[in-house]
Amino acid sequence: MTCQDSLKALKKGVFKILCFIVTSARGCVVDSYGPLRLLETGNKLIELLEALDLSDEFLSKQRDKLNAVKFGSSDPEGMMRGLDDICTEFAKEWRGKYQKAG
Amino acid sequence: MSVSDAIKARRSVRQFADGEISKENILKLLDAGRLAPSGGNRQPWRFILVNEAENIEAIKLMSPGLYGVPSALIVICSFREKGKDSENGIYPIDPVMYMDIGMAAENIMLLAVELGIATCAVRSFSQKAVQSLLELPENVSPELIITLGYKAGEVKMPSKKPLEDLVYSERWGRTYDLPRFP
Repeated sequence: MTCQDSLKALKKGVFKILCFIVTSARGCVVDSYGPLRLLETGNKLIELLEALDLSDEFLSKQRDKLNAVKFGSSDPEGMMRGLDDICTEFAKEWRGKYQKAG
Repeated sequence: MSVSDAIKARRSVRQFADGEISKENILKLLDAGRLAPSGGNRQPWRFILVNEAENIEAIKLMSPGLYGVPSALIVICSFREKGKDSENGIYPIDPVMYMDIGMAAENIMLLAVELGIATCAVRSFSQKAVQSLLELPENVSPELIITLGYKAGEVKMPSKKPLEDLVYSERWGRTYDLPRFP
């Protein structure tokens, strides 16, 4: 994929996610699917990075975890524990990989 | 297949395998919707069949609750008759039509079980966006999308409240003597 092709694919991918976000926002005015929609957005962002060959093992692993918790609204305690774990992993990854790299 | 078996076997499927649904089966499903009961037999529904891939993709983009890649969609729309104020674009809203659309949807989904077709009812979508995509007139509004396809993998029944938690006898709070079902 050329750089130009990658940028086009990025723009199209981001546009699709924006459609999802704004439509979800409208729905969330009346429904209770906020956490699900946010996790789905995270899922879509990781998928986009994978499509552009910019993802890594950490993100792929977190995507599996996001998918495991996103339908957990019937078990709020379990969902919170799962998300606490994911949040902690992201914090460690940020410190170890992105913050140190500058 | 008995109606009872179809009720027990129906699942909300969100992952689909490839495979086109025959026109014959599509027509059967649409007819099942047509034959549903409605208040005053008003039949306040119009069915938009979507089975072109790019149109399914566009609707999916504006439907956060639509998962997977279905083979087809039946978009059940409310059709509101023009009332005496319709010159101002005001159409009477009758809440009963939402119940009617629900009944039509269930007819479609239960027949689909018999035909070996998987479905999911989707309400999380932008009505305005889908109305625009389908070029619907102002008095026709998309209310429920039924995704159709062939299921990819088994779907477990989600937990359901026991019958004894849902049924009372003669008045609220009075327990009805029910046998325990598995």
